[in-house]
Amino acid sequence: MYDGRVRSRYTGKERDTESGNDYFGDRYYASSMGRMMSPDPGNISAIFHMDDPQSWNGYAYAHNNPLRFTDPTGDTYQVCDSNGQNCSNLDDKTFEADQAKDQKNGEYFQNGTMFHQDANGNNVTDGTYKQTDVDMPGDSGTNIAAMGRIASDGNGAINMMLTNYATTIATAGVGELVGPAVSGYIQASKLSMLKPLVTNPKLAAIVDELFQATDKVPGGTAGAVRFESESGIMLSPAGHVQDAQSIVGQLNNLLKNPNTGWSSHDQAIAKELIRDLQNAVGGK
Amino acid sequence: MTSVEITAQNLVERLRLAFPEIEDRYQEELRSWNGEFPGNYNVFAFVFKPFLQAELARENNNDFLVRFCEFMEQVCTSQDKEAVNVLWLKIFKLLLADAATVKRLWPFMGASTKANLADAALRWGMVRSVPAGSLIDGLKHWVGLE
Repeated sequence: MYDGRVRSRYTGKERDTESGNDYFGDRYYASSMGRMMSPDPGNISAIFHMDDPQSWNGYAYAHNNPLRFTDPTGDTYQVCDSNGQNCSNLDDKTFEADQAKDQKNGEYFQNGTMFHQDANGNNVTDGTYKQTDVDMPGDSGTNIAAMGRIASDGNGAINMMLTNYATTIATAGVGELVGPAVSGYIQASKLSMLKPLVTNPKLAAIVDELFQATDKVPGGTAGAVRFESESGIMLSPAGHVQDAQSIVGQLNNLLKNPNTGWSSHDQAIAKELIRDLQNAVGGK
Repeated sequence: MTSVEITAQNLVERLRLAFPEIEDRYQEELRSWNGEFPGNYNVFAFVFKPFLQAELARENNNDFLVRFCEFMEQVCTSQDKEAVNVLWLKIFKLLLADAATVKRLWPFMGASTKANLADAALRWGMVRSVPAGSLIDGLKHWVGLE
């Protein structure tokens, strides 16, 4: 009986231990994204996993694609017999590999049902399957397109996801959100200059430019350069390097043209800022 | 003149054309650099931003808001990543720091500006500053689908 063949194939395997990289090149889920999705909002952006340097590397490998690392380890399919019983949870790699084999043997996978056709061309149900968790691997374009289809179909999954995501951010609070990221980044970089106090108005404007209240990582612009360099995550389309170099020029210009209120303390701060920025750009 | 696409090379020139009010301040900055061009980031940070902040603090100046949003859209629709980057680091950081300002500007913003701003909000963890409905466009923009 085909049901037994399918069932044993799906349930007889030991679950794989997967890494995020295992998902690259995978296309099946992208082609079947018509199902409801419920991604973990916290995983939608590695920005919120900055306390985990490994996630930075993973992100760099994914070309800063926020969608490729959603649920990198989860079980994603529940497979049951034709009566909807004797269910087992399968990781997506196992499911997909076995599905490919079954499809070659004439098994169909449609709308959550596995079936084959008998000699008369009638569909014979062998079991059911459903996605129980989100995995959006591989091709981001297809993923996004599928997300768009769901949204346009009126499913509202995307809106729900984003609402949840926004709610998570709103309820997490800046401290909880930034705290782990900051500690992780400081731990990883072991270098983070704090916003200095200065008296010179021009220097104060530069310092304000370097250290903004909305900065996501510590250390101001230099910190952003280091973060982008170490993580591969760009915080803007072209990153902060050019900005850092421009401000070095501004600081050097200021040092060459001292004006009123230019104390030795301010000069020392300006030199320290230059050193910090240049080190950051230089990968130090 | 406006048909020429904005690039990092003509960004400040286009800024000065769009906002002639900054000319005195720009010339002052040039003098402090002994006539040397200060660079896009410095002009936006130390010439345009103070002017922008003053304008945003004013009420009933929709004409300026329209002009400002048109300029942002021209930058955002350009293919020059470095020019767009200047806008992100020098303007978007300022805007996203104040959700009320974003809300005020939103009706005047073009689609590309909104997508860029939402993208920035996502990357910087400031999604509360933009309408939730814009975040999917921000995601698309982030992954390069727009």
